[in-house]
Amino acid sequence: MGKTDVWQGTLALMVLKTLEAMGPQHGYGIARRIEQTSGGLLSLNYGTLYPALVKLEQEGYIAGEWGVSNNNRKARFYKLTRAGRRQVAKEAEAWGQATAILARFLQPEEQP
Amino acid sequence: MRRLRAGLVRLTNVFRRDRLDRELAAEMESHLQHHIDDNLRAGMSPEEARRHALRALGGIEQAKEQYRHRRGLPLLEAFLADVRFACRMLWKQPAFMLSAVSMLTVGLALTAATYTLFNGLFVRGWAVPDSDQVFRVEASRRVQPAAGTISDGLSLGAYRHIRAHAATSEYVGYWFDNMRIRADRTAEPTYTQTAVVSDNFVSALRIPLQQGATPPTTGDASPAVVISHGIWQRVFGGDSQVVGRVAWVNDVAVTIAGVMAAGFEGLGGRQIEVMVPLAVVRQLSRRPGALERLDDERQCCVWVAGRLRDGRTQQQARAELETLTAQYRHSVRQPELSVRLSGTTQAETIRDLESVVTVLALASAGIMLVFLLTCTNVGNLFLARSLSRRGEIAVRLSLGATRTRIVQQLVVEGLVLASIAGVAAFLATMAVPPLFRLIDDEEAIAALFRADWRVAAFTSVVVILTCLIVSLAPALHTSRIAWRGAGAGVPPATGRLRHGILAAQIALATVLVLSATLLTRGIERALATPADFALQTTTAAILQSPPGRPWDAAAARQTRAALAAAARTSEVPTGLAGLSPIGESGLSVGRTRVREPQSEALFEAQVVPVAEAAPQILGLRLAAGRWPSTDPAALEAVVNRTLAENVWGDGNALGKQLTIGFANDRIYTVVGVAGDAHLTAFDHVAPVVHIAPLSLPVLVARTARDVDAQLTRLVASVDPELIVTVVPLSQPFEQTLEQARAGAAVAAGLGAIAVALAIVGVFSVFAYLVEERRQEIGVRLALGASRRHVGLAILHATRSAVGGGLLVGLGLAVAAGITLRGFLFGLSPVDPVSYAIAAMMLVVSAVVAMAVPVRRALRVAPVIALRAE
Repeated sequence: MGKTDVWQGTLALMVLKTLEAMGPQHGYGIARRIEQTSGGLLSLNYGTLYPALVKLEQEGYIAGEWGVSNNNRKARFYKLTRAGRRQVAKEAEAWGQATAILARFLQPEEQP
Repeated sequence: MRRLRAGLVRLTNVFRRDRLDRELAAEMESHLQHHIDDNLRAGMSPEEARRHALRALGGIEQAKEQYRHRRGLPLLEAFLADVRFACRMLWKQPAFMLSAVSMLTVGLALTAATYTLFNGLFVRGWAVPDSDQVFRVEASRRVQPAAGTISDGLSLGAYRHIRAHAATSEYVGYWFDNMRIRADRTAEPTYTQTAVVSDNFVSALRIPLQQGATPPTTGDASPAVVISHGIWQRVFGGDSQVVGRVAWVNDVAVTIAGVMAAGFEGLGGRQIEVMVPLAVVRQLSRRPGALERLDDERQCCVWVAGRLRDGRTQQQARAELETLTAQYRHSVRQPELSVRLSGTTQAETIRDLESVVTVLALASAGIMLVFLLTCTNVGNLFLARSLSRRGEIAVRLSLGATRTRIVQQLVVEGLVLASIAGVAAFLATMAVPPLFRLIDDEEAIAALFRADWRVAAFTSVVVILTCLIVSLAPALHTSRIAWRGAGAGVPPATGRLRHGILAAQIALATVLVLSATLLTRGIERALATPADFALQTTTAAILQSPPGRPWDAAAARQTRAALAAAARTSEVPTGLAGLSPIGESGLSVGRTRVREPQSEALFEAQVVPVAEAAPQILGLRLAAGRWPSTDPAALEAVVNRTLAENVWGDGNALGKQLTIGFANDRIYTVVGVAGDAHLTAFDHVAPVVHIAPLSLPVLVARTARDVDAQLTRLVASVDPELIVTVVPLSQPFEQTLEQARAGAAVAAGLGAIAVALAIVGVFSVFAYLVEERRQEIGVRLALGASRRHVGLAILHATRSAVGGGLLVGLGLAVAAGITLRGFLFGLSPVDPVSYAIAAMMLVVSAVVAMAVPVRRALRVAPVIALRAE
């Protein structure tokens, strides 16, 4: 099975969820984590991650701050804000519902 | 909410680009290094590690571009980049920028000034808080022969009745007067515009005070007044302890109770420098009329205004007012009183609104034409300029810029120019009121021209319109040519648009020049018409009672009788008349209304009191009957033919009866009919009624060497304390003439601007035309064509534009002339002399504008012209 591109509109949720799970992370770290979480099934163009990050930051869900990484390199670390935490919960629930509904359509119909 | 927040962040990011770019570069570099570190750990060689990391990022520049797109507002950023580029381009061509900006400034400033006037007249109400809750109350009376009604104030009795019984609104009463104020007894007096106001005036209208309070209402204490910020500065030197201080108003000691706030200048164009409570006016006023008003409940007029109480509507106030008026009318048997609510804009207070509107409309039309002329001129400059840049534009198009992008860039250049001109025009508009104050201390006009936020908003809209008019068509045109002919060397086909602009310029200039010539000639003609009465040969002595002397009706009657007796026995024939104070126009003491005692129909009339030798000295002719008796108690009147025909149709007025003004119980008998004369204005005969002078008269005598001394002596023999001012009778007329002259000057000014703009416009069209055909001219001259021939060929190329423009312009000019008929004072709208003068001006201008560039081109040696390619 080949790698899939990230679906439209899902990257933001993946980023938020990653930050919720791992705490403050820099851009490269978030990208690697998303790939790892997908079990290598998603191919993420790292360049598209930054516009998503700036959008989330503008909306106030995450906040960026310069710091030093484990590699002893300067990096911009992103962390979830309180609004971000609420948004993760909200979107996760919405996605859960959406996938559950879709799953019903895709399952073979039960015979009476 | 989140979106709004994101939008705001993006907006601020537009202005933090440099810092954010540096941070982005650092973040990208950090991302790459982390990835390279990982790759190295995975066993790649350094080169391979870097290559792999770059590939995964999708290219650094692409990634940055995506990021920037999301970070700020790309459209705004492109616009700002265009603005910066436009500024650079314009800076490189200072001559183009200066000429375009100066022309646009003229057009925009005229337009903005016109709107300022419109705003001051029709839009802006009184400068008090919540002015939409404030309204004026006017008595409206139907007056013949004018079809409409005239409006004025209410009698004091009516005002008191309404104020006492109204529940929906709080009513205030006021009138205007002039009083002298001084800071101490010995100081030079300052003459002020004074408002006599009811006790609740300040609190009900919420007039802003910067210190002090409303004057106390009781009349027995020392009178207290409120002064304006200007008087506080000028008369009291900005004294911070002014409240409570004693000053002198009309030589009576008063206490300063408060100072109005700096921004408050008055109500509806009437300046208020001092506010005197109605309760104390008896102690201060020296004007007999003002006191009669206080004594007679039915005397007119006190101005009335109201402010709606919380939660009440204008409809409720109107209904209540109608009821209260009906009650009052019934109780005093004043049948003609009907009141209406009106707004607080200046237009509502203008009696002759229709003619003001006509003049304003005509002036606006003229200014609109000048504005269009500036736009076509600048549009033409734009076209020439963008065509000269078609190489640059072609290169940008071939590099992948879209046509929209090019058009946007060119339009932004227009916007930059128009904005600079707009700011200059707004500043010029703001300079108008100080200018009026400087020239003639014309506070009322200055207030009318005050620029506010509405003027700023209007100017902004016009700036955007101007930008579109001057730059859109040339931009579309140029980008199309450059796009079609990019690199292919196709010559531009710009003839039609340029010829269109040329034709429009010529048409507009023709209309403006012809209208200005017609107006100027019409007014000159009216001014040159000799007066049909002894205007130039009469001298008037205007009398004032001495300061401090209280007004006394009986004493005034006695003085008047003594003056009449002295005039009768004087060596020099002397008459008594009633003239308006110096500075007001005409002979009349006031517009009033007359009617037959039993009739409801009111007729407009001007009262011109005359007695003793006055009719002979003034050169008034009598058509029938005799002049009225000198004794006002005889109640005799003489009407002029116009008034007689207005009231009695057949003009047979002898022996008929009429009442004048509001004194319904004083019934005058018509004892004579006078011939019509231009007594009150030089352009029309007003309906006039002559009666014996009622108040302190004006003495008139035939102008001679010693007449000043003789009149002064005569007055001194009656009452040595009276103040005498001797002036030629023509002086009060000067102001009317000045207004007409100002009208002619405005028309001539607009005409001159139009000619100048047309010369510049035609010049630039020809300069460009010649420049473009330089090579062709060179070839023709090299092949032996005569210079005259080549010159004619160039002119020939524009014949249809010039001819078409002239034809359209003439057609419009005839239409304009017919519209202007009312202002031509009998001059024909197709007056041949005016047409000849205008034609000459246009031809001379056209020759100047065309000849210079053509001659310049013809002087160029053929070889040089050919080498240029």
